[in-house]
Amino acid sequence: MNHLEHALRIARHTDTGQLRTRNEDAIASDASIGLAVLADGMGGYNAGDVASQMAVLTITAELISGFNQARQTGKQVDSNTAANLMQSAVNSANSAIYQVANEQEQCAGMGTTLVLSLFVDNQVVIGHIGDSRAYLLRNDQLLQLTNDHSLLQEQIDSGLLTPEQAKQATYKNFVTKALGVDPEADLEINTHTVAIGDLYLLCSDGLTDMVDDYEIETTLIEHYDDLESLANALIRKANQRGGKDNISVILISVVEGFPINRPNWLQSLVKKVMDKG
Amino acid sequence: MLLACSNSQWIQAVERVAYDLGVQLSQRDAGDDIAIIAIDDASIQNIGRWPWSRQVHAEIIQKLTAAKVIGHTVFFLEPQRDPGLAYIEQIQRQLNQSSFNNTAEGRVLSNIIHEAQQSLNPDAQLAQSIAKANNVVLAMPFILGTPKGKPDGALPEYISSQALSHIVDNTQLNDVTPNTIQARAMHTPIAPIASQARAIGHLNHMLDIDGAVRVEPLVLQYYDQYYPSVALQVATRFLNLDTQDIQVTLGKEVQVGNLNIATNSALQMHSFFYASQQEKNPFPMDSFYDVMSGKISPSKYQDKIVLIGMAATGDGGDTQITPVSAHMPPIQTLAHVIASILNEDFFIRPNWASGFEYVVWLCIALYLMLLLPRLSASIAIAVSLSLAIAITVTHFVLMTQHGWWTQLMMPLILLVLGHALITSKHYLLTERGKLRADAESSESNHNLALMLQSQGQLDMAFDRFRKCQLDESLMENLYNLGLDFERKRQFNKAEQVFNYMSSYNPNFKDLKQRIITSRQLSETVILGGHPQSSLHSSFDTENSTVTKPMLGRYQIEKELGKGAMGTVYLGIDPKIGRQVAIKTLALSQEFEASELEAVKSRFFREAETAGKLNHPNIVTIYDAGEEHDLAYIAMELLKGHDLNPYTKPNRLLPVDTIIRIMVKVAEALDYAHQQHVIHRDVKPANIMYEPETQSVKVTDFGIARITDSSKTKTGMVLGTPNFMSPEQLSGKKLDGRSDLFSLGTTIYQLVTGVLPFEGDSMANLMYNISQQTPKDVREINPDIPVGLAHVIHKLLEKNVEARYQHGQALVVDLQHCLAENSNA
Repeated sequence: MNHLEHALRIARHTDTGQLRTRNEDAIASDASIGLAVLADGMGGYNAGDVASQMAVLTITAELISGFNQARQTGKQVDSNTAANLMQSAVNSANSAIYQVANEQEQCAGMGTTLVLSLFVDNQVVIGHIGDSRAYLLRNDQLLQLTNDHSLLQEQIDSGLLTPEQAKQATYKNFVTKALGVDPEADLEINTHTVAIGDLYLLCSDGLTDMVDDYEIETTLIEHYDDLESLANALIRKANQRGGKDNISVILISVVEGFPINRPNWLQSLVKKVMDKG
Repeated sequence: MLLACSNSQWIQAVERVAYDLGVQLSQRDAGDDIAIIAIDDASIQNIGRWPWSRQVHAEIIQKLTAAKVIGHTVFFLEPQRDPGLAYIEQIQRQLNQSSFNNTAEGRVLSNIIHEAQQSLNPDAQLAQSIAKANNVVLAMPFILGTPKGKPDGALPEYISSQALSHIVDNTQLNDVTPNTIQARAMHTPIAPIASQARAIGHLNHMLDIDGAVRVEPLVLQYYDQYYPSVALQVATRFLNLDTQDIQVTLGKEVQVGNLNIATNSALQMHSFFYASQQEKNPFPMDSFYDVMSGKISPSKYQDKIVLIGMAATGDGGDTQITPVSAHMPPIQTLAHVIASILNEDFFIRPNWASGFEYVVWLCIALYLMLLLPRLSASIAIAVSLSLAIAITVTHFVLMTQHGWWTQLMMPLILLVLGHALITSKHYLLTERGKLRADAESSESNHNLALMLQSQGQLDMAFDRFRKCQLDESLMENLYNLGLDFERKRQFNKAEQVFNYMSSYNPNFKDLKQRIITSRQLSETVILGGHPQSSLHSSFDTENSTVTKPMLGRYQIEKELGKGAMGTVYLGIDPKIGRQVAIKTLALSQEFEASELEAVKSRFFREAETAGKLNHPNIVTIYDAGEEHDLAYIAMELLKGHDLNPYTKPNRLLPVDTIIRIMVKVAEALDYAHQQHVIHRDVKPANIMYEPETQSVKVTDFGIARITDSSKTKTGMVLGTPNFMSPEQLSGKKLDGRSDLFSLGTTIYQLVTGVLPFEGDSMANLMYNISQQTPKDVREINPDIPVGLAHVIHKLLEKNVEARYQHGQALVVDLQHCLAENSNA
């Protein structure tokens, strides 16, 4: 019915890991609007899972209703509109978490990292806060699409640390931005053009801290054809390396193009005339 | 598409309606050349039963000799013979043969006979008057139908002379198929009368399928001859022209002199029908009888066209349906037709009409197929509406301004139906998509709501629940949400939830009862200004109609006691099943509204400070919060009791035990002072002791400070300052040594059963604390070891420098006492 559902294959998996007792990660996806969202909660009195769950649920609910409204008014959602919808959905999630964190003592200081993608019009809009990442495998090459909002990354960026030194760093998990800790969400949004055959990976730091990029790349190539077993393989590898944190992955592969119907010249003309009138 | 092959019959009906409307909207001047003499009911009443003697007709024609043309629509098809006439003629024949004819008497007789013959033969009279007037156009009916063979016989000369001679046949050239109306027979008027007429025309009406007269067949084809209609003949004569001056171009038009009357392919004219102006008939009808009797002067008809015909309602008085009237006497119709011809007012279907209609139809079809599905609903309706208006306006403008009839109702109907069809299809599709999408967003909102509810965010949860589709499972969730609101004493919110639920199913569980209870309770809270009835400060846990109240995320189980600040409750954290003690402070009762904010913030700051303390002899603080003007602190639930009961002289604890307890209290205070936390209210009531386990816990750290500035209420002893240090009473900056002074007072009371400082008034008490040296404990109880007495004395020094400087020093001395005491 929906061409996106034919164009995308999605698999997602989350695991508590070897050391933690609770899973503070939350993931969700909705193929009909091309949405995948992953959140890694933190802080609070055992409330990290509250923040991540709230983030994922609020964003999913807001985006679905946003796309619905657009659909009802007959508007085509292009990547710009999608980015706006994403921003406002993330904003409402942010204020909801922020409010709960401030009202509930046991939730004080809770927050969550976030990475989410919206596939629309042969493009993917990727938003992220914190150190949850999005990767792209294209032509057997792994490419990191997001730049961590972490102390470590900032130090690398400013030249204080080399990537080699960074691997030895002990403070890997200090994020400089998170959802729900400030009244305003500082979401970074980037749009990329999609090619058929692309494989996108959203993951929490439970994967990337345990498994290095090279190994992620070889795993993606090896299990390229079966997303479910690929998701399991990634989580298995992270657990074998110690599984110190919760591990979550969402995989999206693009099997078909999904352009939106552009208005033809006649419609544009009518629209212009109507607008003037 | 579908409409293209739809039944054309009803579309034609719509076209006819549109045509009639166009005719009615057209305004033209009929002119005043035409007058009607109607054979109406009054005439028939006065002159006699119809048909009249032809004498009557002869008479009126005699009167109308001044008229330019008389169009007579009464048929004269059979001779009218008086039965007596035959005898008269027989007598005359006999007379002529006899010789009597030549006598004078015979001649007189002959004249009489002749006279009788004259008056008994109205046909002859009529013929005579027609001949005399020489302006009469007669009517004759044709029998329509396609001739199969040859005519019945040669026509009389007076008929055949009426046939048109100028026939132009360009049909092969123009590739038009002429379909002139054909007649297979005719009823000729009787020769004596007809031969005298100025002209004869056919009087055949063409009725549309709905029985209405819209067209006038100007020319009929009879075998290979063409005969004009009465209207055409009258108009021709009016222009002083002759039948031979009429030129017919088959399938196209009829020309009379300079008049060009465009027709359809059947040589029919789409007649104009003149609207009545100010309720006045465009063609005034005079009664036949009025003219006969001279009531109306014949001079009125000077140089006019006079039409004589039936307008009676009785026999022969049929009316016709025309675009402007549903009951028009045929004579009126004839008048309209003649005026149409003379004024060249008529409607035509231009050559380009069908092409134009096709193009419009095609445009609409393209619009429906290509453009419409891509437009948003509002723009689509605007475009379609303006197109529909454009088509309608075009139709009427062409008709009224140019007399061009284009059949545009077909494209119009296509537009309306097509739009309805396509938009409803579109609507159904989006509606289906919407339902599906609604279900999706409903699910995610549902999950979010449950999560928010579990976090105690009931308002946000309710907002989300409202975005879900109401069904049975949601009702269950909403019911629980309502109960949660009740537990939080937010009865108005609970009522909202229950009301929202009742819109779906008012009979769900005990919903009706819940709504009533919630409403009553929410009103109670508003009314509860009096401390006694107010629900703010205390929970009525016995109220069975309401579920267990909630304070923050804690479920209140029962009241444990009343403290200085407020009530203490036993609560349960439902998430982890832990029992907690919840101390409450009714902020609004204790403080003025102006200082409420400051007090609140101080309360939470202090609670936070106290919460940081982590010591085995200090009660653990879990949580603090406020709800409905009730600030609360959730803390470790302690077994045992405070030391207050042991201050009574007859219930004193053994000295050893007191010292052991005090060691632990001193350690706790020392730890707290190291964290820069001062208790401020050390007294037996704030030390919890469980004899079985010997466990000691200091409670209420820092909380005293919150109540410092509380307004003093008469009759309410908000903690007498018996245990306060001198510097505390004088409002100086405090440190840990103040707590140690209070601890000294506490030990004093525990070992002696009396307070070191007392006073019969507040002022007295304060003076004693700051100035008086208390009585030595050994004077009261000689069993008290000297060491302990010294310790107490040192604790109660007025000068802070002279006291123990920190708890650890006190611990050492107390343990020393303990050792000495057990050795002794």
